[in-house]
Amino acid sequence: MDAAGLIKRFCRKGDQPAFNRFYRAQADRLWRFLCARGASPEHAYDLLSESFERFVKNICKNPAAPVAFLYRIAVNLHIDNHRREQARPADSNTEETEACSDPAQPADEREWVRRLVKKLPPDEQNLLLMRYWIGLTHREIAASTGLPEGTVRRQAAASLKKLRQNWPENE
Amino acid sequence: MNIPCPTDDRLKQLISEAFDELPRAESVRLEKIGHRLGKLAGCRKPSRSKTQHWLFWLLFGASLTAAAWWGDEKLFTLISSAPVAPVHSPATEPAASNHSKPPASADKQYLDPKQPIEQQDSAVIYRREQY
Repeated sequence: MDAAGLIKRFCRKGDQPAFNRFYRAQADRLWRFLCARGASPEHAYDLLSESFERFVKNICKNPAAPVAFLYRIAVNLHIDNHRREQARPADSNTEETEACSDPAQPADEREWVRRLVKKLPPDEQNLLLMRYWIGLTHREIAASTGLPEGTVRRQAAASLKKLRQNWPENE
Repeated sequence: MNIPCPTDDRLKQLISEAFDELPRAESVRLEKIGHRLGKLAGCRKPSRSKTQHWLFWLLFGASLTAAAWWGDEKLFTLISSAPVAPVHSPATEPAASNHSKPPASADKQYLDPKQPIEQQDSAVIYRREQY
């Protein structure tokens, strides 16, 4: 059963094992997503926990696209937290930069991709990761970000183009 | 370092592979969070679907209609079985002196041909002529 089916069962029948299956399928990837987006591993656990709590409380109002909804919550929490971190003194950010740092000289194209994605603006990073890593459709991303589907499609294409332009061969 | 620029399709695939390589979360930590969330999810009451709501209102409406129909019929039965008191017009009220005599039944009184003719304002609308 897919994610939407599990959540529908959870909402209609209060099926807790269905929710547990959804959690097991999504938790690890969401944690890695948060880490990739700049959260420290420890902080990613907190964000993960809070995201799922909010998810449980609100998903049954509209259980159509649960994965997109979960990532939307996580991204919003991460942004809020990032703003709070920026408001604090500068030394509080050291943990995050340590945790997600890449080697100085990338060895293969995957490392280059990670590095180039991180150079993009936050919205474009979210879009690329949700689309090509998490596997959400353009429509789901549009629903989760509040943008029109056509805009999401264009932005994804533009972000890919930007990656290609920044590729080391072209530098 | 010279790495050939990948095509768009290859780039999409690379994004997926590159981020899949990231270290995984500790399963013990995830289990703990999952256990706590399980409790939270268990407290949630299952919501009724839209179909159930629709069915509820349909049954409610049907039972209300049936109750109104039954109540109406019962009311009519009660009204029709109740004894009807005779209605006297003020002109046909007997005088106080006639009260010593027991009053005849309403039908008999009205159909009695021996009644005086001056009783014009009788409650009887139609009286058969008797020859």
